[in-house]
Amino acid sequence: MSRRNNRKILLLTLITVVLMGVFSVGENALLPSGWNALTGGVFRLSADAAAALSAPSYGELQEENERLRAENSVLREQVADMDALRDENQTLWEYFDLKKLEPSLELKPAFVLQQSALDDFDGFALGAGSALGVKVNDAVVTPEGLVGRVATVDRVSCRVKTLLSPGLKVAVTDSRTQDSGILGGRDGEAVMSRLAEDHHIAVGDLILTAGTGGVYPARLIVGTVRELRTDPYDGAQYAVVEPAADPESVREAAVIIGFSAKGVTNP
Amino acid sequence: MNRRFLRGVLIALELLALYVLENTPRMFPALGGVRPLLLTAAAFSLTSEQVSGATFCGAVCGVLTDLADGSVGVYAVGITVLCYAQSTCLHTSFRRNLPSLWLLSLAALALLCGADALVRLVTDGIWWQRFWLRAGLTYLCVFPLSVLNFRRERHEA
Repeated sequence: MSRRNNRKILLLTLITVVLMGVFSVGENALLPSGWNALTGGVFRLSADAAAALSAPSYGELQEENERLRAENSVLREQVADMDALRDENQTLWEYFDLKKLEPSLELKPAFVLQQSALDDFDGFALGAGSALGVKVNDAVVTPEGLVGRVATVDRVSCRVKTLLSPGLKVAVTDSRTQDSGILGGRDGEAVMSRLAEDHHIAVGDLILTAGTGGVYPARLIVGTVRELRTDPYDGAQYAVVEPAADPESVREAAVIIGFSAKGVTNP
Repeated sequence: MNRRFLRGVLIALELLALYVLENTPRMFPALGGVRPLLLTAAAFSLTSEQVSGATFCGAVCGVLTDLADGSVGVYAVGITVLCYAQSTCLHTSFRRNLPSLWLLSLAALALLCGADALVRLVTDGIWWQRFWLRAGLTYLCVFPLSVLNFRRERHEA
């Protein structure tokens, strides 16, 4: 084939690709909706197969069981000292029974269908889309706690940005001291910044959503403080938070499609 | 004609398998939380095909890579153009052998990563550690895939 023909093919291909780009932008975009509806079943099967393949062996389970027993005894002592809120929250999260705590909460549980290799911050696609009432910016939770926010949505699926993503900001508060701050991703870590100069945050404190922005319900578990650091540029302190829900190992999660204070901002 | 059709079917199956493998959670082992871009590596490994075929394969791989991340964009356009350029070089200026393909793939991947980094810096932000690791892993995947695809082309030609 001549070089001229090749150039024509390149031009035609590029025009097609650009048109596909146009049809893939925005909420409920035609191309991702159609494609994800077409391939959703394949990914459901492959995700199940991958889960079955990565299931631990008997020996590994026994080893893990012994380790967990040792951990359990230590944790029991710690749990006794924790505030009643976490105890209640944890139990409720375990069973996805948040409605008992917050009757206005509307949850849409879904399986993780895809994890794009392009996403540096462990973002994933959930098998719940606008057909189920999911919208951009809805909070996404697992039984362990908040995992992220819906970034894009089509008819059958949505893409979730995790707490590690720099583009995501969450108003949070320390459950023990009530110190507030803004949580966002920085170099692959979840960082709580904009702390008051006289804050009393300590390592191990439980961090919860503040619920002031109207995007996330209040008092969702976000994680625990792993480390306190000082910014070398402005001298301000910030807390590195270990997310309660590990985004890399999420298999299913729930989208909070509604709660009573949604869209209500409290200064 | 039949051989060409069969080759097309085999390539389509290969790309489909790589697409599922690349995007299924926990199916392909991750190193440091990073998985290689198998479709990108496959696109560059297929540039020993005719220029038109390589361009088309590049477009398909790019569109699939972008769709897995949300919407069609940098990878679709970038891989299409780079596959066209690489395949043209392989058919005109370079000897059409594996070392040439590996060398050109390195340059193409560097350009693609550069464009990707620029876009990430102004949109989502970038985690350099993972970014470089993914680029390295992707390039490593070019070797086995190019051996597979190059051999098949020679065998079927």
